[in-house]
Order: sequence, then structure tokens, then C-alpha cells
Amino acid sequence: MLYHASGEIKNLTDSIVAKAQSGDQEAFGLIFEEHHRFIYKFIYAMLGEHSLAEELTQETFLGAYKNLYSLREEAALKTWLCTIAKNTVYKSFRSRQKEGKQSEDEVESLNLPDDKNLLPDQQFLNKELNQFIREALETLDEDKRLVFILKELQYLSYKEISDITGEAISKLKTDLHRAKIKMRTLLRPYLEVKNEL
Amino acid sequence: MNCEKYLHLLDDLVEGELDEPTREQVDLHIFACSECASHFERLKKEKQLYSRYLFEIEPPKALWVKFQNKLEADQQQTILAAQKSFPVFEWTAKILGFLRLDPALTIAGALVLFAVGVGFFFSFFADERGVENGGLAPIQVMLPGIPENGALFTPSGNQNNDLAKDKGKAENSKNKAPNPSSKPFAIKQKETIKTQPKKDISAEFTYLAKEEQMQILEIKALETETAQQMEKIELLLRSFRNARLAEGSEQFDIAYEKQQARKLLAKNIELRQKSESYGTLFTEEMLSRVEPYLLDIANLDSNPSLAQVLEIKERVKNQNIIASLQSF
Repeated sequence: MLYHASGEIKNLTDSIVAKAQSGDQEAFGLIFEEHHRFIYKFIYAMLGEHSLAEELTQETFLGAYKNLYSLREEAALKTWLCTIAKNTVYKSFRSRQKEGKQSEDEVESLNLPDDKNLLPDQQFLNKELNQFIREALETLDEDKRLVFILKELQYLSYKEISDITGEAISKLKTDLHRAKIKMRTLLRPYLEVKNEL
Repeated sequence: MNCEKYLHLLDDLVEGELDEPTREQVDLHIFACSECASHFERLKKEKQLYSRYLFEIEPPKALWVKFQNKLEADQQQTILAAQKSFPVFEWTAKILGFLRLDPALTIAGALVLFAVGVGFFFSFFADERGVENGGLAPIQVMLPGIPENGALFTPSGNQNNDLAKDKGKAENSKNKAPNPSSKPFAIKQKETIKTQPKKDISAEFTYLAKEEQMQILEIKALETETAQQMEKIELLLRSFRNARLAEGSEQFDIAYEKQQARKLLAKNIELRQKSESYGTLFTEEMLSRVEPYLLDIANLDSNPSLAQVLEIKERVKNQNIIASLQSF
């Protein structure tokens, strides 16, 4: 039953996109439901702020809604959405650079507690690791950060990342390799203490 | 051993980018070379560490509602912008604005427009013979089944086909106002025919198909959720399998894994019950397969013994559960 359903589901996915392209909001809602978590996580990883991730996720889907007619292949929907998200994030980078903004979230994240013994459990350690990773990601330039997030955190293939960024796979591999080296260097003090590596 | 050749390939192996023949070759090398094997393990652990970063990052539940509000606001803005940029609207608004200042002028204008409209309507439907006769042309409506000469229906239902033949009658009709009830009746019939909805034979079919479609969509949503669940369970089991002894202790440091197992267990039960009700056997089977692991990890004591933890680790390894989760 499942294989039969899978075939139907593939056709149904194509028809959902077709319906959304003709203005069916319910169909677009299904597209949103399927992809919004991925897009949100991607934007959060790029920018490190929940409020911004929420705002730009909505911007991404608004752009998608307005331009869905231009999507040629239903199979490319995910990478197409990622491309819109990437452009939205880059636009945010430019405007934040111009304004020299630093959000409250960012400021808070730099204030690590003095006494680490206050929260000795694993939850604290994971939170600490997440802060380290977030701060380490911020030191990467946009292109390396993008490929690192899409490959290491979101498990896209090089082909998919190439479709999103327009870069050759060889360049992506080089960028990822350099990003990993930098991340490793920045996280080494934490990793050695915790015997993770 | 030519480890240099394999160093680059180890990265691709961890990333899942190798084709089958190359992957087998690299696997063989790792088996034989302890240095490359340790390097490979380090790369895997590194990747695993990074994967935790977005593990608990979730969008807010009300995001769809917020998006809908934003979409609506954007659409309103687009309409307003279009109206502003189209000059005719502006001129119309200005003219109407002027008229509002002078009610008498507004009423007069409205009457003039109405008269022009009625006149246009009459002239459009006027019969030439009626005009020749000098009276108001009787309204002719081409209804199905009516002869092409456009004969009128009289209230009595009798057709009068020979107006043109009988000049006397035509002469009389000149002085008579056309039967007032015939025109509205004729017009009404035309309108009725025009607006009568088609018999909605296809609606029932569409309705049924829509129900089936909804069910398929629900199944799809369930499968998407299950795939996400499997992804999280895979990460949890990997983390549990790689758990180390806490510093200066003879106990495993698994508090995080326990906590995650509890969260995932509640979700697993919910998804399993849904898949049972939909009859999606494969999904139900996978969820049933992983549930015992979640139960066992969640139910470990706060200070579990080495034996308890090692037993679960061994089961995870022997039953190859992680590999089967990857293939889901």
C-alpha cells in the first residue's frame, strides 16, 4: 500500500505545487508545512537569532508565494526555496552591516556565565557547545558559512548546494574544507576539555 | 599504504558523497589502516557534534498564522499602491470628490447617467419595426424555442406571430403601450436562463476525490513527521552509542540522552498510533522497532550501572538499528 501511495503522493506533490501556482492558498499552506522548519533552521544557523529567523522565514515564503509561477520543476522546490532564503539572508547581512546593528540576542550570547558550576548538567554543556558553535560560525565569511551550514548541519548534497549558490562543486569542497579547519581550530579548546575528539 | 590518496576521500565518505565502488574501496582501506580509521572516526564525531546544534531549534508554532497575516497585509499594500499609481483612479476620485461638495450637482449627474444608461439599453434592444411604428419598440428576447422573428409572449401565453401581417393590429398597437407584463416576463426568462447554474454533476465526484486527497495529504504529513522523528532518533542512538564515562567516574554520562529519549518517546507513541489508524504498515513497523530503545534509555536510573548501559549499547550495535534508520 505504501509504494502505491508513494506514487500517488509524488503526483499529488506535483499537483499541490501546480495548485499553489494557480493561487490555491491551502496548497501553499502544505508547501509551507513541509519546508518551513528546514528554512527556519537554515536562517537561524546563518544569523544566530530566533527573532530574525522568524521574520526572514516569513519573508522567504512571501517571496516564494509571489514568484511561485516562475518555478519550472516541482522537484527543485526545496533548492528554490533555499535560494530565496539565501538571498533574503544576504540582503539582511548588507542592511545590518550598513546600520552596524547588533541585536540583543547577540549581545546576550557573548555573556557567558562566570561560574560554570551553577549548571553542571549535560543541558548546560550542550548549551555551551551551541554557543561556541554559534560564535564560531559568525567568524566564517558568508560563503563558507553558507556551505558549512547546508552541508554539515542540513545534509544537502554538493549538487543541491551548487544549485542554490550557483558555485562549482570544486569551489564548494574547497570552501567547506577551509570552514571545517577554522571551526576545528576555534572549537578545539572546548573539544579537548570535554574529550569529545 | 597510500594514505594521502584516501585522506580526501575520507571527507567525502563522511559527507556521503562517494559512489558505491569508491566507497567500498575506502572502506577496505579503513579496515586495514588504523591511522585512517582513527581519522575517519574523528571526522564522524565532529559531524555528529555539529548535528546537535540545530537539533532543538524549532520555529514557533504560530508561524503560519503570522505568515498569513503578513501575506494579507502585503496584498492590501499592493492593491493600494496599484490604485495610487493608476491615474484614472486618481482623477475619478478627484471628480467624485468635487461632486460630493455639491449634492444637487451630484443628484443631477446621477439622473443624467441613469437616463443615458436606460436610453442605451432601449436602443440596444429596440426592434426596427417597432421604431417604425412610432411607439416604443417592444423588447425582443431571443429565447430558445421562440421563432426567429422574435415574437413576444403575452401574459396569456399566446404567441402573436403575425404582427407585421396585420397592419390594423399594428396600427392599434401603436396607440397601446406594449403589454407591460410581457417585457418583464421576457427579460426575466432570459435572465433566468442566463444565470441558472449548471447541474453540478461533477461536484460529487470532486468531493469524494477531495476526501481521498485529504487522506493522502495526511499520510504524507505523517510520513514527513516520521522521517524527522527517525532523524532525531538516529542522532540520539549515535550519541548514546558513543557515550563516554563521566570524568573521574565509573558511570556513563548519559543525562542528555535520557532527556532526549523521553521527548522522542512521547512523540513516537503519538506517531505510531496515527500510523496504525492510517494503516501505513511500514511506518508503523519502523516506529515500533525503535520504541523499545527509547523506552530503555528513558527508563535508565539517574545513576545507571555500567552493565545496564553496555547492554543497550550492544543491542544498538548488534541489531544495526542506526543503519536501518538511515535507510528510512
